[in-house]
Amino acid sequence: MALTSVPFMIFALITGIIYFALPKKQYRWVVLLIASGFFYVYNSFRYSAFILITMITVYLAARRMADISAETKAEVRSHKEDWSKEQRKACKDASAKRRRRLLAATLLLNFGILFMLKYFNFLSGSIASLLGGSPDDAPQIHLLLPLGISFYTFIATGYLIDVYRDTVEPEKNFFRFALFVSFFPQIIQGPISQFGKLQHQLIEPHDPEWDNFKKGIMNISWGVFKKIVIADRVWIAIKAYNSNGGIHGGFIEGEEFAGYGGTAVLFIVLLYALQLYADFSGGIDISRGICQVLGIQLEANFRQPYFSRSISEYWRRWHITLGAWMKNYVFYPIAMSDLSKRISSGIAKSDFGATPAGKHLSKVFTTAMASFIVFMLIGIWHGANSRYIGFGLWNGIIIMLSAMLGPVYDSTRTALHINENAAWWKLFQMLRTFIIVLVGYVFDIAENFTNALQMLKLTLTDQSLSAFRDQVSTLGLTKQEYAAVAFCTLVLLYFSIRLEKLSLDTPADLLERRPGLVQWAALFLLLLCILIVGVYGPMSDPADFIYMQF
Amino acid sequence: MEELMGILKDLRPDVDFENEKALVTDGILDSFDIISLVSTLNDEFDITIRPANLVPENFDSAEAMYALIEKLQDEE
Repeated sequence: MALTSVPFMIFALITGIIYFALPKKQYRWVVLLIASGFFYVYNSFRYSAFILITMITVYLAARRMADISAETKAEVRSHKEDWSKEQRKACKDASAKRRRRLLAATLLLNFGILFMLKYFNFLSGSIASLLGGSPDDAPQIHLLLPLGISFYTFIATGYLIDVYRDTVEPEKNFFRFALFVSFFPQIIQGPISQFGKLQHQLIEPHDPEWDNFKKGIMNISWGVFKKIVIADRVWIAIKAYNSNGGIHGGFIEGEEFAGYGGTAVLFIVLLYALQLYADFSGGIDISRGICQVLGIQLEANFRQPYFSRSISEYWRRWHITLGAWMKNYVFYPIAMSDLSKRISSGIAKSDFGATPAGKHLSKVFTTAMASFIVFMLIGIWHGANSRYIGFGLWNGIIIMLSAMLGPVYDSTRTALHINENAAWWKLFQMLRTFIIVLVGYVFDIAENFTNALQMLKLTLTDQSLSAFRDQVSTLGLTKQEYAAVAFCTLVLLYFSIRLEKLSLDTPADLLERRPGLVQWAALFLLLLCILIVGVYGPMSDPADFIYMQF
Repeated sequence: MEELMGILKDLRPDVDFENEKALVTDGILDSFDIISLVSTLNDEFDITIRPANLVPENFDSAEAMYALIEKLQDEE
């Protein structure tokens, strides 16, 4: 049951009706829990035990942590008169240690499950190859991934770390916690919500509001438009590229095909950038729209990422909630660790540390290393394949270099008398960032790391429009379809530019400023477009939300 | 407070720390700035800022940072 399928829409509609119709408002959250439970079991019945393990272990660990804190506080209070400052400190330290152990054990268990399910086959195959055997003979786990395992693991462990850090109160009611972990609009592909921002919204009863309904429906329609009008159409071409053998070629309908040239590769990478954004952000729009109808605000996950002026900005605007998770729970702890401090002060105290370059490096080196680690993790999280390691390496190295070479860029810009706020400079920065992003995408599309490098080489050495004209006809799309995609992409671009200029979140916010007639006309046109130009039928598999597989 | 203002101005001379109230929320200070700021604050004020303290509420304005510093100094 994918987000754009009719059964899902009916399911969401029925959930909404029952939610608002329930007379005992204080139990409305139970409707969401039952709906989420049904959705999960319906889609991933065989693997439901995994999400239950996460719910139970994280819930119990958080409760135990709270108990340990309360016991320690009570003990310290009861010895207020007779304990020295050192004794109090020792008691608190022992308590912190117990909490830390509990945290580590629970994280290890939950990430262990994720790791085993996602990477066991890859690792076992690699080890077999290293030992000189065949990867096919290595032991394999034959499991599909439990639905949303990455997302719910991140959501639940983020909560546990927040409890450990005392930034949120642990949830006492197991069923309320179960709703937070399994909430159906976000289980498929995020966003990765924070407990402090979402939980109270899930539990509070909401009443139907016309404004929420209207905006929610508009956002759902916008998401469906991005997904089935743009992304699914473009996906046909990307699939054709792969099934025709990519750059190496093969056979197309019995005829030999020599493989795609550099121009076609560039074209496919551009289509992939469009497809990935339209697919993933479209899915998020649908999830957020459904929540909006229910009166729940999910966090934004995209903010026109392709308009970013640096790669670090791009990662603050693409899959925002994953970036925030990584920042809070991986980047900060590493960058602020004792080891990082020791390395920084080591550089500062060395002879090199006295030079301007050394001074700068002592400040940013460990931070840059921490972000490198984050990008390697993001790469590995995307899947068990060397190309994803390439993806992580590429992004990590760029971010690391841009941090370490910051002063060099600044002085070069000053020397060239470039005005940082000039429109052409901003545009240049956006284009440069987009190219860096595209290079990263090559690793996504390629079969493996080596293939990605070959593709990159081709785009630089083999540009030919005449070859491209022949090859583009093998990508499975007609001229009309290319025209439709081009037109809809322009619509997407127009709205993105408007949102960017006005610093607004969704097209519904944009339309809100227009008269009612314009709003309805826009919605009508959008729905018409979805009906006419959308991809349906046996050609398409709407279940293929790209991020579902992560 | 003056000392803090001096540190902030050194870190990012281009930012109006007197009036800006959403330094982190609006992305004016990025995570590299925050890490650099934290290490300076730890040294200058003899405190230990932990990852748990790195929420926007503590770093959105100079006043909020000052309040955090005072709170951590009391705890030490």
